[in-house]
Amino acid sequence: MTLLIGCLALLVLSVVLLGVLRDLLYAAASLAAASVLLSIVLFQFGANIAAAFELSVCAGLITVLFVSTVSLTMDSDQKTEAKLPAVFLLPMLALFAGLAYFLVHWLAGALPTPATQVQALTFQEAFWGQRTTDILGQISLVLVGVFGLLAILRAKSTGRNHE
Amino acid sequence: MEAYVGSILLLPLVGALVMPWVSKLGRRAADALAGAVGLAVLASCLALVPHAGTPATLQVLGTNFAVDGLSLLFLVVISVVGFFCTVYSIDYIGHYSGRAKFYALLMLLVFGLNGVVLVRDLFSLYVFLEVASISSYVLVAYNLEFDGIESALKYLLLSAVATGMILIAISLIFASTGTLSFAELKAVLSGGPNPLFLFAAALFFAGFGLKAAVVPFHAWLPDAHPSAPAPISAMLSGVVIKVAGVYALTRIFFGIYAAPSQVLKVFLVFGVASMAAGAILAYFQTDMKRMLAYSSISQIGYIMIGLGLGNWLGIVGALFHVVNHALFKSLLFLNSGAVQFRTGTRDIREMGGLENRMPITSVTSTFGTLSIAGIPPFNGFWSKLFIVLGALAAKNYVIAVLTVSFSIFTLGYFLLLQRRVFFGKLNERWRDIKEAPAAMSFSVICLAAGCLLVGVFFNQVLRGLIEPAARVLLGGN
Repeated sequence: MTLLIGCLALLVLSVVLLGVLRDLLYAAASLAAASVLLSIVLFQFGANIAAAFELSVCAGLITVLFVSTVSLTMDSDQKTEAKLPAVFLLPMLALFAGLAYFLVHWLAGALPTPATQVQALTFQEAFWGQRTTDILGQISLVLVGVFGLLAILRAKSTGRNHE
Repeated sequence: MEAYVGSILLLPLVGALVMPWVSKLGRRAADALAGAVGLAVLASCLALVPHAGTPATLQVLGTNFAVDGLSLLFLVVISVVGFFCTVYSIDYIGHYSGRAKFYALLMLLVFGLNGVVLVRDLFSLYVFLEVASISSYVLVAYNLEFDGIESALKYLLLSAVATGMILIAISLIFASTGTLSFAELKAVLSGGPNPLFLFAAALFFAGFGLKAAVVPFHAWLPDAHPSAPAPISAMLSGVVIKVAGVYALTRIFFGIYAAPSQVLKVFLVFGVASMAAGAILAYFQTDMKRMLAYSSISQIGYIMIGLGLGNWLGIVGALFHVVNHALFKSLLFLNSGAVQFRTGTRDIREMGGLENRMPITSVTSTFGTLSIAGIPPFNGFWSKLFIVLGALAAKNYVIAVLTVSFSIFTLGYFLLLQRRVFFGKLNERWRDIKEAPAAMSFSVICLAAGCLLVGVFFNQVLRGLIEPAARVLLGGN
């Protein structure tokens, strides 16, 4: 429980940092940290497949794509984003906290008992026995990541576009 | 059938896997592999068309996939546009580096889209949607120019918001029902209205509406589509927004939620907004590809209207428009790519009189213009006619009048585009330019012929492809 609360607190902190950091590279690192923490939270809840997916795709692949793209987009002295006016920060946080409180309360009352009891499967049983389609998807996602990175980091052609 | 479905799903994945090694044999080997994979997938899809009326569940590599009329319609659209975009790329992609990587990503995009239409489970749909989405982000940025990378980032960020909403909706559904299978969910959700399911429905609509670029979720599209290389613009406009948006919306709202009247009204309202806003914004554009991008938003509006009408004619019209829009919009994007390839600009104000220098591009572009405006006997006429007849059958005369009016408006701004680019006095800057290379011309000729032939033989297309798909939506299979 302590680990869960700690992870949730750090998750909120990293998401807030993601919104206010002026350096896009640090923001991307903050996003990766948020994804890792979310993965831990998902593992704690027993959602192993979602956790593995979050860790491999969101924390890994998407972050690498972000960092590569940000590095390519701007010169090193330009890697700052416009500063979010500080005056909006507290009202926005209060608004989102209020919305989250309302949603959690509403969902707690609205969620019915599952019609079909979800079986408590081990990670191996679920991953290899029930979600083989997603394994195919995962393999292709890794391939997309590899080709995507190679494509983004390749040498740019100097050829003319037209004759 | 298993062999065909296996080919459709796995050939693009295997093609992407072996592409780095094959490309070492030379540029032509990479072109041949990409073309062969595209052709094999297209042939497999066409071989399935005679079985369109018989839904089948199939095992590929120990995994269940299912094909019904709706899946097959979208598979045909993906494979036709995918094949001609691949052929077009043989010449077009020459001025970019990394030919093999481009083909690999294009094949993975096709693989992801095919996966989306073949799975029968919400989470698997999400996984394959991500495969297609991540491939398309990279392909949008493929030119490594500032505008391409900026557009790709915008596309990625907005799509991430959409994905977040879709995932929350999937989580809520799974938490309350304990299943993600389409068939089981349909049985559970038919139990009656539930605020939680309605909340999930709103999230699904916003998430997939953003993927389909329905107004007001369209902000990413006018940047992403023009900045991408032309064959990718054609794939995005012709296929991706339909599979990631329209197909997912129909599969969920017709297949799982059984299309309640409130949902159909939402489809109608957002459809009209998209049709009108897209057309009006397209009129004011001076960038050729940006005009086409806004026009795609407008045409998605027609599809949403047809679905929102909820009757046989409306749904047949919407599904027919999915096929037709894929043909004529990919044709128009490929033509705009040919013009940019030769002139180096997308600015309509700098063009003029290109018809004598690029006659094939000019004639095929006229075919595309007449098709998108709904002029008989081109394909666009029939789908728009069915949508208007659907509106009249539903006694929704305002929608019928608006649909016809914006079709005329579409003809107006496309004729203006045609006149400014191809007709009139030749701009002296383009005195020495030539027609687009052979592979690019071949693709646009085939797509233009497709626009005409689908229009002339509309009855066969209707019976063989559209009606089985419409029966799935109305029967809710």
